Order: sequence, then structure tokens, then C-alpha cells
Amino acid sequence: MKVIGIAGTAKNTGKTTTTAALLQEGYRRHRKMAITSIGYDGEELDNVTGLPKPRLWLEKGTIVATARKCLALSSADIQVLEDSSIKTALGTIVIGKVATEGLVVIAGPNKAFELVRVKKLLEKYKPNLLFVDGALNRMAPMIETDGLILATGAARQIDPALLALETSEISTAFRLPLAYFSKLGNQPGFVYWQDNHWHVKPLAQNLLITSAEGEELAELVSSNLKEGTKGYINLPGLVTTKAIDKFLEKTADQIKGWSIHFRDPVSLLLSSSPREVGQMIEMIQEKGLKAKVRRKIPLLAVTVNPFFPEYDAGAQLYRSRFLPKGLLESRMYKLPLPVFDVKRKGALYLWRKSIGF
Amino acid sequence: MVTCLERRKILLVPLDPVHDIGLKMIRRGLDKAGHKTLLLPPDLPSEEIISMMSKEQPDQVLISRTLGYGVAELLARFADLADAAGLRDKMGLVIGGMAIRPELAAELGFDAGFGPGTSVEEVVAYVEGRPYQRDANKVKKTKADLTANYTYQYRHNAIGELLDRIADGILGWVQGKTSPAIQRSRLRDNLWDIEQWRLGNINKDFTEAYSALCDPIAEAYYRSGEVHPKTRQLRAEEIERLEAYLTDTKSRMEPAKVQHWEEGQPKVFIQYGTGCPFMDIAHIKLSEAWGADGVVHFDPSWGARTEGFIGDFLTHQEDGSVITPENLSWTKAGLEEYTLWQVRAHRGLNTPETVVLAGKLGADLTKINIAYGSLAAGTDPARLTVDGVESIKMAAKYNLPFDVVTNEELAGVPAHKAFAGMLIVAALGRKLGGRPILQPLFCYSPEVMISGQMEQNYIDFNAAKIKALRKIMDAPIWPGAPIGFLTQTEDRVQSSMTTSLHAALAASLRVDAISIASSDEAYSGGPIVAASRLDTLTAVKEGFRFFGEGRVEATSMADRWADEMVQNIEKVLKDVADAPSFVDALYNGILGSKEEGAYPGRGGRDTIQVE
Repeated sequence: MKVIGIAGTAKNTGKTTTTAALLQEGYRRHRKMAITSIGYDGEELDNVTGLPKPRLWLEKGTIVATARKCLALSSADIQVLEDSSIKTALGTIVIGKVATEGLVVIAGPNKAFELVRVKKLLEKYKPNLLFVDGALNRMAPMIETDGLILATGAARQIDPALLALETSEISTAFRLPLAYFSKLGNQPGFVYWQDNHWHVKPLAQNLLITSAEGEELAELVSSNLKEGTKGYINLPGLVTTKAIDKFLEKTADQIKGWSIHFRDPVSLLLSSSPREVGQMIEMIQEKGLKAKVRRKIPLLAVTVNPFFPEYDAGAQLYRSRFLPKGLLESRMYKLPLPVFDVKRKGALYLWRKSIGF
Repeated sequence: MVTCLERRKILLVPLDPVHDIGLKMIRRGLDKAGHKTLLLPPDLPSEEIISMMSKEQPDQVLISRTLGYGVAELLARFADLADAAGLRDKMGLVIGGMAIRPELAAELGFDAGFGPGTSVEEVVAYVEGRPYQRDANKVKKTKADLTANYTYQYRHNAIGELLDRIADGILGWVQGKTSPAIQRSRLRDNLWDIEQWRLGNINKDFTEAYSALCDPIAEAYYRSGEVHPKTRQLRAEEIERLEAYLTDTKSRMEPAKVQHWEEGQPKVFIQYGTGCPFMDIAHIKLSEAWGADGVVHFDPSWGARTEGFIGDFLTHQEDGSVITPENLSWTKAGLEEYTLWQVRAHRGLNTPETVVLAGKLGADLTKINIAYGSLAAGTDPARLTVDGVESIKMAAKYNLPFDVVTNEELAGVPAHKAFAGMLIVAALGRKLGGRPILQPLFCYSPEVMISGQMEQNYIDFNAAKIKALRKIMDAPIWPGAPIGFLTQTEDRVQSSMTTSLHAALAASLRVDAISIASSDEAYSGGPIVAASRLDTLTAVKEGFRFFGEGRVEATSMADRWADEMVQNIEKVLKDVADAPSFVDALYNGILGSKEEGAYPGRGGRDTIQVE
């Protein structure tokens, strides 16, 4: 079972449209598919803007993981196979099979460790593919996927140049090389270095958020450090650019040639805005260090959506607006991965570019 | 109080720059239940909160944030940070605030979401992992009995004696007299089987005997199915839509209350009668949803001047909803079980039969007033006296309390004369085993316009009326109808305001019920708008919230006028008692003269028969 995540950079960037296109093509190819989401998806109207939203159409046989309360809201008949006992705001998540085709509302596991459990349960039913539809700009649970399609567009950033820049920074994070490292029990963060001997020091805190924490880490690393040592730092799951900046300011000269291991590109992107993350990676490289990730998730494709909701203050409601067709794609054609508008290129193109076979 | 084993640690996080009142209320509830709480200052950056969560390791993190565009992404990123920090399998993440619903909580990556209207108890239950019994905390509504706490004892002995004498006189006078209305009412009572009617079985004996007692218009209906020229039957698709509307609306209904202080503030009635029963039902449902306790059926004025009722599910092209068994039955079907329903009988040629129909179709209250009906509503005094006594007997039989409204005040009859008439009817009710409710007007009547009792304020004279009635009889009081009559203008804000203030005054006087108008009722010039009903219901609710157990205070004038009123009532009653009969008193202007605007009616004159 290959797990494909469809993550967005914001609300209304086209996650569901992308997911729906994948399903459509998958049905044409007679693939056995499963679907879940890391939030709530398939509602008729946007929870915030009140504008209509695309919904998911599932055919018979599709395996679904969704919260119990969503079953009644779906026009498809879903036969419940088992209850995962994972609680959500909309009841427990059940695994079901579409008995008669129709529209569905999906609210799946909204945390990474729950997605792991759901994946295990779904595996039993042997689907070829599991699609994990995103929610809003949520990314964290997507570390449990085998590949990611990123949906972005005018709803995230209306200026095409800025959007292109940001998308490029995001793709940089996904292209960081995989780190090779020793394990230290369950300890997520530690420093590992070699002079004449190998040394290991666990990090005191499992978060690296404030500049004070960055400074603490710097002290931990640089004390007793001989010149010309080689080593790496396994950073905890959540770091901020602020803390890393401080850390590097204090230690960069002493640890030239070392690798900085981020947990994965998704949590790296959570450390700040994509712009600042990009600048941080750049700085690490400038200082003669190597930025790597302990876990790599391939970024398969980027879909761009020209739609954006515009608030009409007079009428006190949101209105649907669109950037000119092709404007966003042309700005990003140089990125080393496929970038396209699904509505323009169609489901087959999407499938070929992201799944391939 | 939870034990140390059940004690939870809760981190409360106001993400809004300023609004953390809700969280503070929840904190108080959690503290009271014995949990450990930690309230962060508002508007901290997400990273700092995550850091706090990691250090404190609470069981639950409650975040409050009002939603707007872009806020959803902010909250979703927060959930992501918690996930990336490895905290999501260690603690619960809950979001609360305006526009938050469970769907949104799921979407944002939270475990639960609490929106507006959430009670503190609900959040405490969630934190403790108990199922929350929403029903236990939902507004509970039961049908109120307005007459339950009253003995109907006279408090003023001299007036009591006079009233008894007059009532006995009336009962003697009606002896052996009958009318077409009484005959119809007895037919309806004896031969009209509601279960058979519901099954669509027509009782031919009833129909034949009944139509013989009707005016040509009603008779035509029974002869050929012809309905009144200003009405038409609802079409099949309209009925289908009504059914669909009712099914949908009733499934969503939740009881609501206008009162802030349940025991002390009056029940609130609205009046409906758009002409269209479907529209009436929609207005009723809205009013119920906004907390109305009761509804009053208004029928067209021609209904009071026509002998006999027609049938069918009818809509009327003018004001007033026609009384037919079908119309009443549909209205009843639309009502919530806790809503009081009054069908007015009070004034016309079908008074006793209206009571029977109302009783058989499940109404809770009716309305009867012989004096008003004969002096200001066009019915012959003799006829309405005979019919009125029968109506009261039927009301007693069908267990319907009835109000006695002094609408003749609007024609110009001074309050003390109108009250004398009301008290006579109440005394009759008392004698016949009925349960009358006194309904003085809370209005800017011609009497006060001329004599100036409301030049200073609207409080004193209205308060004087209640005080005076309380000095005479221990009976329920339900000012109306509607309160603030003739103080409302075409300005909806003004109308709502004056209604609210009159309601607050009524509450201060601890009366049992009030009837309120919509904010456009006085000047609508046609059907009123549903939204305007919500105007006054909301305004009254605010008034009740504002005053609570506090009171609007009258000046000393109220007591002085109340004493004067009692003396004047006694004088009037003496004159009535000394008159050859009550009916003579009505004809002779003792309870309201032509100069005062009271004209004995002519409807049904010379129709009294000897039994």
C-alpha cells in the first residue's frame, strides 16, 4: 500500500480537487484505493468563508477511514468493517467500504500517531493506494506518508512572484539529503562527535524554540570540543529558525563540516515561514555545515490553484475570485518538480506526474 | 469534587488578543470541580505555548479563539507544532470560541470543539471524560398553569357581595333562555366526535342539524361545500410543504426562555392571525424558538358576526385566521408540547361553540367577556349574556381557564367601568367552576389621554390597575392585550423598547402572563413580518434580564389611583346590582356609556329563544 498525502499551504488551495482527480483516474485504472483525511473534508460549504467546496465522489469498493458522524452526511452507503476506537470531535474513526457509490464526507485521524494506527488497520484490506487528504495548511501528520503532493495557490499568496519564491523554498526543504545516523534509544535529540573517541551527548530538552534554548544547545555542544572534530547533531522534532540562528551564531566556527539533522522536511517547514526556513538552510550551507533530514518524504508534485476568496466588507461575505489561467504555473516552471493546475491539465496528467505507473 | 486520582491538569490558552472571559468562566468551573488549572496570558506566540505545554505536561489544553479568515490556518499550524513536538499523544487539544463547531475542530487538528452556547458544565464533563448529558442542562420547558396558585377568594367583602348578587341575578336571568349558538355548541359537544372526524367520517345527523342553525354563508358550506368568499382551501402541494416544514422545523426545535427569573417573571404570549394557517404556524415556530410561552389565535371579525362555523383547511385573504376544525387542528399539530395555546371565544355569535371546539381540539385557554363583547364588539348584550354563561360552563367542562379582557377601554370606557364588567364575568366564572384570569389593558387608552393619568409616566396608572384588582380578588392577572397598546409607533426600535418596558413593569408587578405585539403590529397595515416578532421577544428578554428580581417602582400616585379605582368599581357595581338586570345595565351604559364610546351591539339581537 503506497500512501500519498495531499497537503495544502492554506485553505482553498485545491487539496480536495487534487484528491478527487486522483480518485477519478484511479477508478479509470481499476485501482483498489483507500482514502482518509487529516481533518474534515467533503463539506458542501467552507467552514469559514461559506463558499461552496468540491466534494469527494467514491465508487463501490473504495475503503474509507472516517469519523462515525460523517457516515450519515454522506450520500454513499458505507458498510462499516471495524471501529478503530480512535476518538475525534466527530465520533470514533471507523473503517468502511463503499457499498453504493456517492458523495462522502471524510474526517480522519488528525494527528501523526493516529494516522500510523489507521494505516495499519487499512493495510488489512490490501488497497494499492491510500490517499490522505489534507486539511487547511496542516502538514504534521503527512510525515507518515510515502509521498506528498503539495497544493498551493492564490488563496495562500495572491502575488505570483512571492508564491513562486515560497514554493521554491518549500521544495528545497523536501530535497534535503537523507542523513545517516546512529540511534540512541528513544532519545530524539543528541550530539554525536568524534575526536580521538566517539562522544554522545543527549539534548536536555526535546524542543528547540527560544533563542535561549539555542544558546543552551550551543554551550552543550561547544564545551570540551577539540579542534577539527567531526560530528552531527540530531535535532528534536520541533525547532525554530530563531533557536537555530542563535545556535549557529555561537558554534558555527567550531563545528565546520558537521551535519545538522532535522527530523523531516515537514517539521522543518513548521519552524517558521518557508521564506525563513529557506534562508536558514542557505545560512547553514554558507557556514560550511550540511543540512540533512533523518526522514525523507518525496515531494511528488505541486498543484497550483488560481482561486481565492475575497472578503466583501460591504456585503459582509466572501466572494470567489480567480487569478488569470496559467499565471501561477508559468512562474514556477523552473522548479525541479512538476507544477500545474489540475483543472487545466486534468486527472491523467496529475496521475502520470505524481504516481507515474 | 474530584479526588486526587481524578484530578486533571488543564492549561487554558486565550489566543485572542483580549477576549478570555469564556476561558475564565471555564477556569472557575474547573477549579470548583477540583482540577488544577493554569491560565496563560492572552496572545502569546504559538511556539511559546508549545514550550509551556511541553514543560507543564497538562492533560488537556483548552484554547479559545474567535474565528476569522486566516485564523483557521493559525490554529492548524498550532496543532501541527504540537504534533511535531511529540505532544499530541500525551495531551488533549480543545478549541472553543465563536463560530467553532466539532467539524471545524476536526479540520483544525483538535480533539474537540465548543461553540457559542456551550455551558461550563459541558467543558468540565469533557475534561473529566464523562459523557455530557446535554438534556440535563438544556432549557426545560413545561406548560405553565396560570391559575394554579389562586383561590378566587374576594379580598374586598363589599365588592364580593355585590359581585355575587349580580352573578346570581345573571344566572337567574338566563334561566330557560337559549340561542342558536348554544344549540350549535351543544350539538358540537354531543354529536361531533373528534376521533371520527379525524378519520374523515362525516356525521350526517350532526351536519344536518348544525347547518339548520347557521347563517346562509355557513349553511352553504354544509350544503354544497362552498367556502366563505374571502377564503380558499389550501392546495395539496401546500399541505405537503407544510408537512415537510413542520417535520424539519420540529426536529430542530429547542426550548428557549424569555424569562431570566423563571418563578417571578410572567409568561409571554404572542398573537397570531395572519389569515394563512401555514404562515401562522411559521410565526408560531419562530416565536417558540425565541422563547414565547404561549400563542393566541386571532380570528377575523366577520367570524364573530356569522352564525356558525364552516370547515376545511382555509386561508383567508385578510387579517385573522378563520376558525375551522381543520385550521385549529393543524395549528395544534404545529405547536410544541410546552406551548400554551389560547383560542379566543370572547365576543361574537359563536362564543360557546368556540369554547367547545377549542376544548375538543386541545387548546389550553380561551377568552370570554360579556361586557366587552356587547359594548365594544358588536354583539347584542342579551344574546351575549345568554351565550356567555353557556361559554363559561363549557370552559369549566373542558377545563379551559379563560381570560376576561377589558378591550372596551380602547373604545374609551374608563378602566373602573371596564373592570366592573370584567369582575362580573370573573364572578360568574367563579360560581360556575371556571378559572377566570383578569386581563386589564396596559395601554395608553382614551381615558388617560383625556384625563392625563399618563402625562408623567406610563407606570403609575398601569400599576394602579393591578393594585386595584389585587385588592378585590385573589385571581391570576394577565395584562394585555398587547401590553403597551397605543404607545407603539411605526418605528420598530421604539415599538420594541416600549414593549420591553411595559413587560418589565408587568414583571415588577409580579403578574402571571403578558401578551406582546410584534414591533410592526400597530402599523403594519397588513400581515406582520416574522422578524418583527423576534424584535419584541428579544427586547422583552433583555428587559427581563436587566431587571431580574429588581423592580420598576411606581410613585405614590399608583396607590392613590388604585384606591380611587376600587371605590369607583364598587359604585359601578352598586348601580349594576340596583339595575333591573345585568342586561339592562349593559343597555343603559352603567358599564360604559355611548358618551364614553360604548355602544350596545346589535349582532344576534332578538335571537334568544325560550328553551
